[in-house]
Amino acid sequence: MRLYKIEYPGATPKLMKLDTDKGPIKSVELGESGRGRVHKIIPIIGEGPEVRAKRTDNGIVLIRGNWEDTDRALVIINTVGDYDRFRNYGLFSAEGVEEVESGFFAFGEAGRLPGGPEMLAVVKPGAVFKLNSKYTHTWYMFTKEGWVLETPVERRARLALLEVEQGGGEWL
Amino acid sequence: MAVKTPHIALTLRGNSVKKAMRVENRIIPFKPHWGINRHNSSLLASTEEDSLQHVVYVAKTKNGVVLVSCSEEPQRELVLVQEYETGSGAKKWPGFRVNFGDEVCRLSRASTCGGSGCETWTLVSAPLGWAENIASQFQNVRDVESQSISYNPGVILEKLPDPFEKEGREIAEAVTRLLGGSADKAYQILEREYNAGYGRASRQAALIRAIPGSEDDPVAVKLVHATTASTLNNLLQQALAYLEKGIKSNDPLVEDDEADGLMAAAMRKAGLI
Repeated sequence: MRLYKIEYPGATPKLMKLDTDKGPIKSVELGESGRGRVHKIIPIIGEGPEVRAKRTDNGIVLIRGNWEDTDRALVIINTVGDYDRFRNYGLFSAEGVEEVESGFFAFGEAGRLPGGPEMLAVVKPGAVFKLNSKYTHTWYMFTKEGWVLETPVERRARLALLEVEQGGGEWL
Repeated sequence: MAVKTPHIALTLRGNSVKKAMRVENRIIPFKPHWGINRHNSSLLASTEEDSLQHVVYVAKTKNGVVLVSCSEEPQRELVLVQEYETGSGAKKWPGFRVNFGDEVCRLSRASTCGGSGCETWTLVSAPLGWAENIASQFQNVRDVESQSISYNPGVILEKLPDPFEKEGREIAEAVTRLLGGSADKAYQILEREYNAGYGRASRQAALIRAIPGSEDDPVAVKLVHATTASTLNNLLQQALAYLEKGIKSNDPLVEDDEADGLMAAAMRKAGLI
């Protein structure tokens, strides 16, 4: 499975490089440490262009290899980004998304201001979810061809056209 | 078989009716001139293609309005009504509002959420001639109050007097008497700058540029400024103020040995004093 990362709500998912100039990456981190926060470190072992998550008694491990037998993908989703008053952080209207592990970001010294999770999830083709950003939200769809991002207006327009194509709607 | 009514697609903004509707990425976009729309997620309408014919069929779905191009004789109008209140820099121009009556069917709506000025765009299905009727009633004249207009098929309104017209004529005639040139041309320049919403400084600069030789002549510049900065009733006071400051030069406007200064000479030449 390919490993993607969504760095903040509204960001385009990027394919994570498992090998850097300094050598292969040893782990991925979720969330942050501190009061009211949850910090998780997921080790990466092995060699190969893709990864697969394995659940063990002591936690999740990402194993590198040639895992080309699946259309699914792994994605690290940061649902928080920057602090906004009154915003609900999280993954909304999710379908086809299986959470594997998650950390937690929070705001304020004691972590009592609103926060949200950063999660590692498995997505299958057709998966869809929504992330809130400051003034709007962004719809993410994972397809066999890759990721599709839509604004609320674009999504409503597409669904309205689809409805008419399927014979729905009321003609004036 | 569902009955489809062909609509002619129009955009109504103030006293302007355009026989078209803007389409971007198969969406009728909400792009206001005034205000900001960062919160807005309203869909005005979506279209099957990236361009729209003049005549369309209209479908209402639970996700929004869909427009499908057709080539039949229109029976109703599909009007994108762009109501607005002007913002900073154009506060003297009237705002445009429409009172929607029972004759129209409102389909979708999008509004701004802040900033200077505001706009509300509404997509409506209306009887033929509705948009032209609203547009003909709107007086888009500076210094006239904002208007909220209702559909009234029998109404014939008189054109409101333009408050600029009288003052602009007086200024143009005074300037051309002082510096030469055509009064009509000077008025056209002033009117154009005024209608474009430009301020006094811009009108003065345009007038100076239009009168040959005045651009390099500081006295001519001062005369234009004095004439356009105040009404003609105050021109005499301006002249006296210049006299007190002792502005004198060898300007060609001074024909004789004028002891009382350039401005007074110019005004005497223009027949104002």
